[in-house]
Amino acid sequence: MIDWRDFEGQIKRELKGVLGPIELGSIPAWRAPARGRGARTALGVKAVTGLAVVALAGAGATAAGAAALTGSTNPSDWGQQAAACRQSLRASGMNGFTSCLQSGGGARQTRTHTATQSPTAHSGGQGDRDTRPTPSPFIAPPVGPTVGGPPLISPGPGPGTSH
Amino acid sequence: MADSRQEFRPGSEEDFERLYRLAYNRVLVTLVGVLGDLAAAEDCLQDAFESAYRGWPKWRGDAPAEAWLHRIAINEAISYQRYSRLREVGKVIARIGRPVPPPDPGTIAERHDLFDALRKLPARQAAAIVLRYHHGYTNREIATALGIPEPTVASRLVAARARLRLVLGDDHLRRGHVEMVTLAEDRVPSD
Repeated sequence: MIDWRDFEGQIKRELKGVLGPIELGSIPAWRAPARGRGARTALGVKAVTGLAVVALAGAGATAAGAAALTGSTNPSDWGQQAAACRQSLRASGMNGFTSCLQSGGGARQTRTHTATQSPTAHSGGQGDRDTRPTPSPFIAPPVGPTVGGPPLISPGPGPGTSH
Repeated sequence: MADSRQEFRPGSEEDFERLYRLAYNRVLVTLVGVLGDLAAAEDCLQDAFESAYRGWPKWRGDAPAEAWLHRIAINEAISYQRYSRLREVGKVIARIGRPVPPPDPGTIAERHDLFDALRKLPARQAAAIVLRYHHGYTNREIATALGIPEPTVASRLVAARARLRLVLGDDHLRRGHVEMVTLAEDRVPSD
């Protein structure tokens, strides 16, 4: 029952009864939050995450494109094929880098084929391989349309063979 | 009050930890008074201490640190209350047409009339009552804690008390009315 004559005293007693035990409770240990937390940081993190997602998507698209072009999912193959195409195009003085990549298997086959033909070509192939940073075993490309025209790799010695 | 403004150096980790230890339970109690729920009060207090920690290097020391902390915590509690009310509205809308579950008998047994009435006050009025009658704050300290001018504090307290009386008076008037009716019925001659 409320004592209206001593209402303020009544408030004090009631609050002491209800809140007093809570005030005597144990205090959890203070753990300082990381500096810079907050809305701005959250926005910054979101922006960075967004950029990373975009970059990954771009990288994914590039990788997908490279895989489609070279017919291989192994990134070391992409580098090998690109280097081989660049060399062969430079040697033959021709254009058509993309076509060369698409027929990467053909280029390799040409090189393999020429390697059996002459020891010079073989040494040239070795030289090519020596210039590549990450040699990897040959992976048979998927069967696709062959590009006609002159051979993309000349059988002569490559730049790696010069001493 | 647990501190004097000379005792704390803005930005000092050591002093902030000391303020935390000194003020934690006192501010928690204020938030329980405002929110009427210990778990919610603890959540709000945690957020409040994190905000305070971020603002600690900029604390000017022109007001007691505990009152400053109270201000941050009360603002957190007000935000929490707004969010809870919105959530309650959502629940009520979702519950329309369904029977309301009966209240838990345990909760009724632990009821405190005045404390329950406190929960029906606006957050800043409830906080003013707890700060004055439980913590024994001065008007100036309450002004800092509530972010209102000092002259407003007295009128805020008068308004809070009047509202408490009204809320409690309603219940008591109703009970009184029932008692009067019962007495009147007893006195009716049975002829």
